[in-house]
Amino acid sequence: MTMTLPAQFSELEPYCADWVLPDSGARHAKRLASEYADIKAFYDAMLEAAPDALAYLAERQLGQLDAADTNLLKLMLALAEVGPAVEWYQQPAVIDGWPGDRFPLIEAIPDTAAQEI
Amino acid sequence: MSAKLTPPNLTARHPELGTGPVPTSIYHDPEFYERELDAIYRRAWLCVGRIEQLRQAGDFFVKEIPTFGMSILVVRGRDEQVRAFHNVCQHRGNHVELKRSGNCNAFRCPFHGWAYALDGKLAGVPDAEGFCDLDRASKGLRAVNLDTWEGFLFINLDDTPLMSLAEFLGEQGQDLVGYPFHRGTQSFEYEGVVHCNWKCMVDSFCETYHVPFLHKHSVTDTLAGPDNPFGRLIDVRLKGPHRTSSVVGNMAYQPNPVQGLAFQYAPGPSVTSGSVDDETVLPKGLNQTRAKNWSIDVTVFFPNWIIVIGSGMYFTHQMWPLGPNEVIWQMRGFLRPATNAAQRFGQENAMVELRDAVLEDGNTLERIQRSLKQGLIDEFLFHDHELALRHHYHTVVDWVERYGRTR
Repeated sequence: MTMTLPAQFSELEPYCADWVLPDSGARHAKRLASEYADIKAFYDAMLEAAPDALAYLAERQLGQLDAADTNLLKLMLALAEVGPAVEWYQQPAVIDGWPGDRFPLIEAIPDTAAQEI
Repeated sequence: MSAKLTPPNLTARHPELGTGPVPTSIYHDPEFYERELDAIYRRAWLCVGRIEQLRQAGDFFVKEIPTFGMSILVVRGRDEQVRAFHNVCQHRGNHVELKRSGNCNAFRCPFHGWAYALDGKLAGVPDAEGFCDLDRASKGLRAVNLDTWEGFLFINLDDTPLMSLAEFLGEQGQDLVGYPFHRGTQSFEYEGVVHCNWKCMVDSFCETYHVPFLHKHSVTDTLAGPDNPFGRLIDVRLKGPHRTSSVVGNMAYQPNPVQGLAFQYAPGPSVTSGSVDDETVLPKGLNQTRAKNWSIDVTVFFPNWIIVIGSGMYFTHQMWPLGPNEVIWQMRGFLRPATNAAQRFGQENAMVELRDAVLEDGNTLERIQRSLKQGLIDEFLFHDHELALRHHYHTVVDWVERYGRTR
């Protein structure tokens, strides 16, 4: 997998190695295994770029994303995963949460496939 | 906008349910649990899936019923009819289909190769000349009663059900007819085993008295807010064995940063965005009081299926008891399809928020169960806005007692 992003988002490329992940389950596992400081740094960098990234992605269709666009979408999906860690809990896991590994995702929405209307 | 809160008078509408505490033995007693299985789970209609899982002839899925260790095969036949069978070969009892879902022309048992048509008839027996008295007509797959409601597939494990699905769902089913369930084509599902009684798990989603406390880090501001500090409900409606709690939304809620972006790009309207589907398409039974500060309706279809409907998405919980103190919990979300890549971000946010919020419930349920098993909580004293829980208690006791009298 290449770790490049569309040119205007290239400053986020250092995050690709850690946060471009195969699916929703992998993103949850990554959040739970991360230090909070790393999550916060990723969140801060992504949030700043997020309005522009979403405007860019809104012009693109699922099922037709190139490698760079795919990476950008996956970074944004990782931002969604870590959102509550920062905005609700200020720690990686849910406070007094039932362990996430006891409630695995057994069916997920694909990250990039076109969705049937 | 500050709507008037419901005064504490929900319970007064139902004098038949009383006002006192209820004994807790039914929430952990092994003997009562066994009676529940016969009186309730072997007789009630149980949801097993959606019609969109079976679009074409030959499409099938296998639904495990963990409570009984049963495997149910649901399939669309060449005649387009959807049927359910026990997934059990009538030769020696192996499961005929081992995949979770797929499409096929016929089912072939992997043990000795007995084959069954999509309508369940025995269609092929290898080296059939080796059997004496092989009556093919009597060796089809064993049928399970199946019917549909609004695209949801239900089975009944009783050979002669007490009543039809339509009669069973009754007024509660009628109330939700017309909701665009079919538009939630994008689904995800979580599953886990919780060490608690199935009824406690159902109950945990039916009252919001706990929201200001248990969910103080997450959804308290969304569902309660300053004008509803104790998480009161808009309404509770009891319909036969089923029940609906209408939940307040805080219309002045200001989303967190990631949430705010997600709501902007959600493929459907968001509860907390204050926008709803065009009211003309929403069934009258949803948000029945037409409260302006409505967020979700939580409907329990007795015994084990909860459907939570907001605007733009809905999700379901299903509880499959494994014993008096253990339950399989399945949570499935149904989202509107994303038409562009930014909306996929909105979907992920909805999925993650929902999961994190419900993870806040699990530990409490397991602590309650320990207290019940240790005999340290003899009765539950229900708040007026825990009326759904009181109704649940009486419904279960009623079904078990009525069944006991028939035997």
